[in-house]
Amino acid sequence: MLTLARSMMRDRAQAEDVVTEALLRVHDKGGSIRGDRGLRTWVLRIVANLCRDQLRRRKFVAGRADELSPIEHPGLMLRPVEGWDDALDQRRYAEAVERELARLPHDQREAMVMRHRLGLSHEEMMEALAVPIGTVKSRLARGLATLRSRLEGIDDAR
Amino acid sequence: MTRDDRRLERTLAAVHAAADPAPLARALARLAERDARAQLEPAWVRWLSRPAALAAAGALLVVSVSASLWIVRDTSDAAAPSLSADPIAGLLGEDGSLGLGVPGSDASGAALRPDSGEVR
Repeated sequence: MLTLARSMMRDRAQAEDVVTEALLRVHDKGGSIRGDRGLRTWVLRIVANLCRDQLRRRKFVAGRADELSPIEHPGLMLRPVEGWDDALDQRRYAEAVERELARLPHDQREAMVMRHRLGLSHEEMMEALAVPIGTVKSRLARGLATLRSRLEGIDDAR
Repeated sequence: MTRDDRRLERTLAAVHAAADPAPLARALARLAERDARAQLEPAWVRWLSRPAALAAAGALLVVSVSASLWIVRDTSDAAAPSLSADPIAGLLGEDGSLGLGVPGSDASGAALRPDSGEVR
């Protein structure tokens, strides 16, 4: 829940508000959920909807993007990637990825975070986002293409 | 998938949020506060304090007071004409003789006829 909220809100405090509210809703409505099946996607759907509502109300993001660390400011962490090419600065590349991820349209960013950061399958994303599987794949493809084109050449500076 | 795509996906996956007990603690505190409040106030008091319920009650009050005033005004208007007309009707009499028994035309003639002075 925190990973999704912080990745979407890009603000630690607001992300924690979202997760707190989501936990309250899970508590209030959790009695109607039978078993663990679908629980994860249902909980993530609540978080995603709350993030969407908050982002719609938010007019601007406090702080300039180039002054704040796009990873640390939202309260995220970077895990070292195995087999990373040591010649590349992973941190610098990761920060560039985060900045471009934040610039993606909301629905593409949501899809990219759920798929690549949370490891949801297409079917799980379909349940969490309440959209057809074709829409899920389309958002992923467009998000990946946009990131790829914006990050071209970012790792050329060694 | 190209090498760049693999690197991009691995980087996306490498960023995450560490477990943080703060949101759960805040949620539990709010639940406890909500339960404590529920025990102090009866359910109907809580319902009445809701803005929608207050607005509905206020509107009902305005409507009932207006209706009462209208009914009272309507009743008093219906009664008023008989009360005010009675003294005038009593004075005029049915024949317009002002209750004196003197016909209207004779009354004017009698006024002009001089008194003979006869004593009966």
